[in-house]
Amino acid sequence: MPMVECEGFREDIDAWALGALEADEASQLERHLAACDECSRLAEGAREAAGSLALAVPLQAASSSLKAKVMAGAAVLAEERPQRRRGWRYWPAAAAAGIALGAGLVAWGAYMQTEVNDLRDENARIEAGATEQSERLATASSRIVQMTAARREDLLAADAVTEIVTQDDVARLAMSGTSAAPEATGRYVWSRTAEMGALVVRGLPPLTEGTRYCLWLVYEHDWVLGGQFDVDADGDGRLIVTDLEIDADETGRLEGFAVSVEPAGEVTKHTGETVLRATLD
Amino acid sequence: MERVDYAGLRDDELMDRLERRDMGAFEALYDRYGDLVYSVALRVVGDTYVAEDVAQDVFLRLWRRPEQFDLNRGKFVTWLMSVTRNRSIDERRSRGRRLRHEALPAAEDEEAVLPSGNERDDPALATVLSDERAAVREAMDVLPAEQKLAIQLAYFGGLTQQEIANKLGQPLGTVKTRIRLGMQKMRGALEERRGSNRGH
Repeated sequence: MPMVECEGFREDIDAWALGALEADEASQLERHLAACDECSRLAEGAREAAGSLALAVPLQAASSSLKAKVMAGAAVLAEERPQRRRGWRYWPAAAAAGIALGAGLVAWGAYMQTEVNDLRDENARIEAGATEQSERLATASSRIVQMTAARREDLLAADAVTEIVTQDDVARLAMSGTSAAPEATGRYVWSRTAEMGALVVRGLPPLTEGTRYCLWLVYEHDWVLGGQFDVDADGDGRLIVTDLEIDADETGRLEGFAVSVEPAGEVTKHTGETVLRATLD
Repeated sequence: MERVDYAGLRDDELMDRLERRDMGAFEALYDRYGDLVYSVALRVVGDTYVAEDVAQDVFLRLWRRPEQFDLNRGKFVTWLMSVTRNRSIDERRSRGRRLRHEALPAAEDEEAVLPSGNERDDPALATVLSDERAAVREAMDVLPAEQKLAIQLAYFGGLTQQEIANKLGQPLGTVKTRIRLGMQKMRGALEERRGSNRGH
């Protein structure tokens, strides 16, 4: 490689290592690096020095929940190998039990994040390609937007579950499918202190158009709507219940929980078929 | 059952184990570098929630694809910091620079972007990186403020040389020179301090 050409590139190596070159300049330099061992060696040194800058950042303590999310996410990914599939059934069996529900949802958030990033990677590869891939790029971008929104929702749900399961008065109850959905199961976890509950269901029948599932808090004198939710193709779904206004004088004692199929839209009364039920002792 | 003292293993040994799907090794790497990854992400994105997202993503990528780290191309921690920085910059850009950190410091506020001596103590990190971190800080300390600022705006701010020039109201050539000279000085100071000690 002629030295005079190298000199021009070497002036840019530090800026390249810092990520401060324009995209076309960086591409040009990287093509040169691929063909020039000496410049490539210098570039590695520059990259090492640039990477060292991060070491001088003042340390801030990450929250303990971050470690929980990371470890739970890794556990989920470990379960997925070697065949990657999404779905609750591939979670560790322990996730089905009590407190592990929180970690499971946290893990799901982490899992969704990796899915989003996979899509980002895919997006980057597409961008690196030619314009004929633009349609695919648009599709991937649209999916990224959707996945990102889903991830945010998942993480909020994970935070809510963490809030619930860390309360002293956390309670949980398994739900069984009725004759209308014998394969369905569910679990409801709640805390009066946190004023929140979380429902996870599996194996519910697919909804027909214009209907949604509703969770009901079954009181002695009234059924109070906890919220509405949909299920995925496997019949799996979840719901975070917050902001309930319960007047114990009117409703009486809490007796259990139920899930029913109701018309989509505003629901105030339980009218549809019950598919899951749980009764407090 | 083999009892492993993960905390006593070097980074490359932990990475070897990570490739064999050793969760203990993964946890040890998190314990060692979790706060640092989070801190770098926070430094770039300026938002604790987003920084946690980034840190989580960095570690899960590490778990999924440990083979992306090539020992022959440098130290693990440098590679990890590079991944973290790049991921943080991506996140910052994808959010349209709407994060709190959007207002990058002006030249007179340079201390706001420079490492300070005030930080929490992290024993796990201190055992492997205290010398390294001190070396980088000392290397940065020898730089003139304007060179330091240009480097920081590029690395942590994700700005190109042209963007830095625009921000500082300086000619592009001046910014290029500041970055080049600053990095050269820093590299020289680092090499002088580190000597042949490559540690972790």
